Amino acid sequence: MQLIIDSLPLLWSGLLTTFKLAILTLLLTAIISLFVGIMSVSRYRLLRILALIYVEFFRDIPLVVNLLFVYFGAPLIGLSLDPFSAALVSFTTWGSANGSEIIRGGFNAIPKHQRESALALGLRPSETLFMVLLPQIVLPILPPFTGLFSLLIQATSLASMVGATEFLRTAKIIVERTTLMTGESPAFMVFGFVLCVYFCICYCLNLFTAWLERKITVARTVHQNDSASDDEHGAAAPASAGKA
Amino acid sequence: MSETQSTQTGHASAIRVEGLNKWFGSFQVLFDINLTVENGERVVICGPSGSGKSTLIRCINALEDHQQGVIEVEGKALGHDSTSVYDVRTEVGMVFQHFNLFPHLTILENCILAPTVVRKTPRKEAEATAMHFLEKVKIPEQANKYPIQLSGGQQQRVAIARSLCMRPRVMLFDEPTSALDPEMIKEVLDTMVALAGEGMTMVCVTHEMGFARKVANRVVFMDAGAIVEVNSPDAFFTNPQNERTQAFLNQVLQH
Repeated sequence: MQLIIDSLPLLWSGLLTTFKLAILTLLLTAIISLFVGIMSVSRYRLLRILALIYVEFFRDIPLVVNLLFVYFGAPLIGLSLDPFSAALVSFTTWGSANGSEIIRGGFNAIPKHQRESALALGLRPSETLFMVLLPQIVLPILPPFTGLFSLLIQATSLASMVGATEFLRTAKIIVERTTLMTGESPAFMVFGFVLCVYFCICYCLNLFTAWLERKITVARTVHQNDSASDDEHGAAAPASAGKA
Repeated sequence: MSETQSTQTGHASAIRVEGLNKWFGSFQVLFDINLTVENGERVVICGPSGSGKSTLIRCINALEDHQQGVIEVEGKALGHDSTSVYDVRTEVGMVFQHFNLFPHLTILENCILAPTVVRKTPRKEAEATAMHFLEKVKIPEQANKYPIQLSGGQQQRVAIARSLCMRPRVMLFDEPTSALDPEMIKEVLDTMVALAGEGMTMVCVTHEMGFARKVANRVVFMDAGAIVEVNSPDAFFTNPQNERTQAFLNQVLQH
């Protein structure tokens, strides 16, 4: 226990790197998923095909292989990526390939009449997308996206394989150093601590999205109290009577 | 009183369809359709399922494109370019079988979406218009509820109000009561009868023969993608000319 307390500053810096990597990964994954997801339901064949290639390519490669390939392959095309960037690129491409499929599924689950009635009201296809269709997929894609995000946070530990000093690697260093110095391995204790921290992070994320899901559901089924609607009704009626 | 009668554009018919042919792939679904609807006229289209009724009115606001023929709404030709499509759609309101209210928006928000986005009406004004039409369909007290909290009949009345908020010149109804429980059909039909009474130009695909008899100026009977018979409601029901019409009426009126 003392060892962990003594190592806290070091673990904390590792954890910060993990947080940085995770937050950037989730942010970029969300944005690219949205882009590719919209492309995959586009009217234009070319965009759909490009999205399909992107998705199939990155989804069909193991994440670790993808990471190693980006890290060791990048120099071949004249790009030198540090471990952190290589991890970010590979997690984001893998994450957004999977995320865009979730978004595509969300769009496909909306009855096609929704789009038609928006168009029939005179809305342009882009207005229909952003004001009618996109808001409707938020709730159904929240659970699968929580799963993906959780997976991606856990996947950040893979960055240790290419030498990014994130949380897991920091812990490994502490274990190895202590073993060398004292002859006793604190592996159980340290990795147990690591396990708890990852569990807490992902559990918090799950609690947050469950809360968000409940909040949206409630907002969409419980209306403002009736007196408010009566007031509005009363206020609006004279205005419309005046117009007619 | 007459927000629906702002139709002073000379002698252009509300809808003119001429020589319309349409295919789904290699399968022809509409054969040489000719139909003119004058301003203020109410036309009911009926016929067996699969006869192309819905496809015809979906062509009129370009939800389906057509391969041959002319479609004009208020004198504006419906081409294959997006501008003419948007022009026509803002003049034509459409009510669907499955109401299609937007579930993530309140009733009021459903009604003001298109006016504020497409017509750029200020929000306050759009809300006042929306409340006006919600009162017309007799559900102003539901304005702040979400669609899921309303009955089917109420939702369909909202869908009608939502279309009216765009102040269309023509209203298309695609089997508006087919998905409703029997006790809710009446409230929707009453709303449509009231709308007809105000002089709205209406084209209505329906199996409600009582409604056709009461409201329609003309009844169009379609079968197998073609218009078989066009007649006044009285003549249509009492003395149908075509034997396919007779067979259809026997089935519908007896069940």
